[in-house]
Amino acid sequence: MKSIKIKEERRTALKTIAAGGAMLAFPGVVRAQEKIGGELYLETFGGAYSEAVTAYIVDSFREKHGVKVRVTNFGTGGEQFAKIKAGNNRIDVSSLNGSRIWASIQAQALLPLRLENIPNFRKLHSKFQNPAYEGGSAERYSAGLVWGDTAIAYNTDLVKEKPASWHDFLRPELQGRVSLLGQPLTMVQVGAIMTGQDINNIADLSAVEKKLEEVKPQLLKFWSSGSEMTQLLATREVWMANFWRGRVNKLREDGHPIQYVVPKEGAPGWVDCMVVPKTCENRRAAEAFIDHALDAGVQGKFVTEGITYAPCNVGVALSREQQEHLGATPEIFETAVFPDARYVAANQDMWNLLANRIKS
Amino acid sequence: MNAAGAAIGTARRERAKAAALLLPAALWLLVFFALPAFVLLDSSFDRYADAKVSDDFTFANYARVFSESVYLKVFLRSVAVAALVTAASLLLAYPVAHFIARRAGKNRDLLFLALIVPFWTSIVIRTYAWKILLGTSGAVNYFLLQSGLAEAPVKMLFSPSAVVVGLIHVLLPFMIIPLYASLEKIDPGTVEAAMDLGAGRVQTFLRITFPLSLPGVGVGCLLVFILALGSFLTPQLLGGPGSLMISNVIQTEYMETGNWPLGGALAVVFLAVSLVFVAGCNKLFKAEE
Repeated sequence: MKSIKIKEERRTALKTIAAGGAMLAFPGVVRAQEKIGGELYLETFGGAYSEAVTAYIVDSFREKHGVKVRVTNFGTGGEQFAKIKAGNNRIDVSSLNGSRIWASIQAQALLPLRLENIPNFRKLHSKFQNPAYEGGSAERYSAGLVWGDTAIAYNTDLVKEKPASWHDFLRPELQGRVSLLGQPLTMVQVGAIMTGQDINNIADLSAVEKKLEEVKPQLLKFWSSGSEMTQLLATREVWMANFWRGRVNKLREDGHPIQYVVPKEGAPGWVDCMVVPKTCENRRAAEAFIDHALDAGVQGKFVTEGITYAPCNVGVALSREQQEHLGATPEIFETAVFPDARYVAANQDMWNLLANRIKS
Repeated sequence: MNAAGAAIGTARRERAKAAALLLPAALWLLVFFALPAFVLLDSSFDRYADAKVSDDFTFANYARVFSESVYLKVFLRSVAVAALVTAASLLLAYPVAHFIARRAGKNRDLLFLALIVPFWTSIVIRTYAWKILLGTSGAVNYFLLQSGLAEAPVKMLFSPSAVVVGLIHVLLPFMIIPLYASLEKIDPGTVEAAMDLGAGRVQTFLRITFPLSLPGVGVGCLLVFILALGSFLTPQLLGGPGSLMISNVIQTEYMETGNWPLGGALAVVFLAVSLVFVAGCNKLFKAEE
């Protein structure tokens, strides 16, 4: 009897040591067993985007996991980049533009994603599983939610001839009726495309500046947020602008005569990602939320009934008509040029100076 | 204890009381102004390269602020806009403040309340109101088109003048309130005495009322000028493609490029110039007094 007891004790001790060893050797396995619960601080883009996130992702997540989600909005990706970089506020999950991921990693402002807790990550398109905007980092820091392009939106009542090229911004009848996103990256991208240059390898920056100076007299203003541009198009202040497909779809659903067209020269692509900032205090719930948002069913509803952008999950079932509506056709995806985040990081300071010169 | 000892004790108690009263405000300023200002100053000497900020000490950010002509251009434009807004606000605010202080009688409190009411509404909403009023399909254009005064909508928004109008609207109370405080303090007897001695209304205003209201003029101008100089939202919402002001430039360094050291250097130079302006104004108005 005694020897059996000793054996049992020895076994228990060995189990404890093995468990301790496993905790040290494989912390990810142990972390994966953390309980999903508590509160989740989510920050995302405002306006229609936030409404769709709440209605099609947050509500079902809350129902599924019983996690209380506090949703906060921000106006621009730049604003959120600064906030995440500063790292002063609790943010468990945040939306962030793909082009800012590399700079955020550089600033050590993000936590790596523990992919064992996000099984749906494997269902993303390979371009988003090993994204160029993470600059080749060993770990993954972002999960793409939706992607799209920034092309031309125009008022079909006021612009008689359908635009086909970025050079249509220069039509004399549109003087004072055009608007451009005032973000330096986008300004330079438009200038590069108009001068026939690769947005990820701009050889002649002075040509870009000259072209933007040429466009400037055509502009009513530089727009700064999606809600501002929506209002400018709806009130017919702006007749033609570079804008996002999902916002244009929403304007059309609301009865405004606004159409979206990808010019023959192509349009720069973008990705909206979800990240876990270093100020996260509920990492397990954050990962569960990301996994939930990447689920094919959830994403399908989010993009078809909520904000109409292309889903990053390739498993989302879409008809050809839906693909065209969302800009999610394989042809668009294959031709979309996403900014190289390392290239952006290396040049954005110079581009910002250029943008300031144009705006001054 | 003799009388001198008692006086010293009273003075000490008074000093301690004054210190206790000042302590909360001093702590507030230390935590929310002095410390952030120090962090800003400290960060302005950091180095920025390849989207990364390192704490290697450098003067490069200041060298860039003074060598790139775009910053001087934007700064001069900001000063010009702020000066215009200040002068227009003074011209518009003086008669209002004078009326409330000297003529309103029983309605003074009501008018003063009306002056403060706009502060209860967010500056964003007040600025957006101008977009609704002055837009192509806004109320003013609707009136112009309906009355036949214009054949096509008149473009009023998104220009430097729209920025000036928006700023005057937002900042006018900051001019009226100090003016009112100064004008209200003037003894009516001095004005009456001047008129009894044969001075006309204009002469009385120029030689009695206006000089006595100079402290209010000084404070009002200072407040409006500083607030207009650092304005961000109004140029952002109402400005056109070439209406960039210095705060917008600083904002892009923090939010677009993440070049906080350069943003910090710009903010420090901007703060220094503002402080020089405040000191100059103080000296000028003290000399006038």
